[in-house]
Amino acid sequence: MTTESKSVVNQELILAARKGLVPVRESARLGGFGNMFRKELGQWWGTRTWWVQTLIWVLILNGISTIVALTEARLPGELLVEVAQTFLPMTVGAVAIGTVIAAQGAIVGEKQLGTAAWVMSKPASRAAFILAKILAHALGVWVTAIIIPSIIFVITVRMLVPAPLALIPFLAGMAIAALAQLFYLTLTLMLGTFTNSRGPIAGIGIGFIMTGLLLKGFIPSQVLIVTPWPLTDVAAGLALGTGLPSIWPVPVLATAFWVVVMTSLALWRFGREEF
Amino acid sequence: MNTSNGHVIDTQELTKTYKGVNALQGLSLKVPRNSIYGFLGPNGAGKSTTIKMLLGLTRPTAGKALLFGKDITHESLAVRRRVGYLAQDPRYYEHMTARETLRYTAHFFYSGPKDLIEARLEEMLGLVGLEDKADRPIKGFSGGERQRLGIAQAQVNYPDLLILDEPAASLDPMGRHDVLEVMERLRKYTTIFYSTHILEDVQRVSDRVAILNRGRLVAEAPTQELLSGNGAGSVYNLTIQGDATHAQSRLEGQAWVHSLSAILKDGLTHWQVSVNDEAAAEDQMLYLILEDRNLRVKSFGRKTHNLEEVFLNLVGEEKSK
Repeated sequence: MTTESKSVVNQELILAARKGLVPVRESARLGGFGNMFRKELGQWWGTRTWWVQTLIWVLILNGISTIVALTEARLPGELLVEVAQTFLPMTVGAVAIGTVIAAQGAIVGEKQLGTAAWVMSKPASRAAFILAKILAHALGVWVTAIIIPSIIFVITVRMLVPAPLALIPFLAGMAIAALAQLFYLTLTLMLGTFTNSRGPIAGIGIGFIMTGLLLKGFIPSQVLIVTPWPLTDVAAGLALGTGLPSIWPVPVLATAFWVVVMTSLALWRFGREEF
Repeated sequence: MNTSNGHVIDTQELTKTYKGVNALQGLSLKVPRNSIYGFLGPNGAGKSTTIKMLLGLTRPTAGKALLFGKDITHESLAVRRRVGYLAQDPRYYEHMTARETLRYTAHFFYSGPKDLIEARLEEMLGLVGLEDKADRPIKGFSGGERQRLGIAQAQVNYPDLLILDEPAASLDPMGRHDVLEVMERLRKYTTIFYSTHILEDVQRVSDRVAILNRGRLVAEAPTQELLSGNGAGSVYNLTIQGDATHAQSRLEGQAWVHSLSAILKDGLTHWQVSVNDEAAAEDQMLYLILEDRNLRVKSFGRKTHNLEEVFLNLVGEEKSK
């Protein structure tokens, strides 16, 4: 076969193959979302990340609450409250620190390495890039640090605590913990769109969590209720049906509002990023 | 192909300013379809800035650019569907293998069928000679292997335009040869717009060349035209046997002769005649010389420059401004 005829055949093969390939159909606004979301999920679930995270959170959350269940000598009802009040605040506070650490490099790392620029040279929208990260990381954190430890917690309580744990209120409490993690996740990812180093992201994120944990009592209540800090009490109150602050919907709605604001800010800032 | 008057790239006064510094000033270029277009310039000339603007990675401060007749700012995603891009320093997810990287790239363009996508990946791996390393993580790849992978991922979508930023910069001579060969092979399917500082490569494969210096376009022409003087006046070399004194006087008296330098060597007179009217020169020059019956023209031809000479002249002129 001559070079000429080879290249003609090759061209025909290429055209035939090209005909068979089905182009991706996505809106320009969310172009590449499916592909990027799958890749982000792959980084959580296709590597050892998921079981390392799960192991860490089961050891911390379930380990400590099990120790409390085994060592505290109280009446069954009191023991249930004690165990739940150990577990639930940790799913808000301790997990929040983990969320910030896990997500601090998600955007900055890609900007520093140049992979964000590479991806953006493909038909991928910037909004899809950010939303894929938020959704995949949220699922990762929720499953490894909230859902799996919660299932283990329910089983442990049934085995070790004679008092019954109402499942629906407990799920409501866990949903509040999930909302809190979404807040810290969007905060971390938003900061990643504004800066090019991890230091300020971890500093601001963890600083914010510690402020809530340590200084909550000194903050005026008008300010406190529009922050996610009271969510620790809201989660425990909803799960146990006791000690629920009367204004509990305010911090929940405020946190949801901040999630939307921070996501919008992240989309706006990343949309203006110059690579 | 939907193009802007047959041009795949059409930039109009494209300008980019970073914090008051002009990285690119009023660039107007038209890149014809199926051409290999060399984009030359020293470091910091604005080549990568231009490429990044074409891809929507950075926004123009002023001016506009159309790719396939579509605006790069407002229709960037549609533009990028038809473009393949290789960055100057290509970066990929280190944990992925070459095949996974190509698959990830392909899924930005195609949703299926799986077997055809996999076949395309295999074809691309073969094209750049990475079949045996296809399933190894990229973190162990050499610079040359990354560059090969870069070429493969840039072509996975059968692009109508291939934009390559310094594609051969980090390759050894063999790798460079391979890249140039791939580019020549792809000419019939696509338009290639590539930046480089390797003048020899440009001279070898490019149809057209643009030279950029300090953010400004200093020359733009078909490569052959640029090498033969780019309209700024042509130079002819002649070797004459015999006493050429009178012929020289006759020639110097012509309006179309800009200058004439003569060197006597080994009994022959070597002339370099710079003219401002090629047609007149080619029509009359030999007649004027051969009026002297004792003269013999041993050689006659238009002087061709090499690109390095042209480049250094143009960039040098800009520096002295």
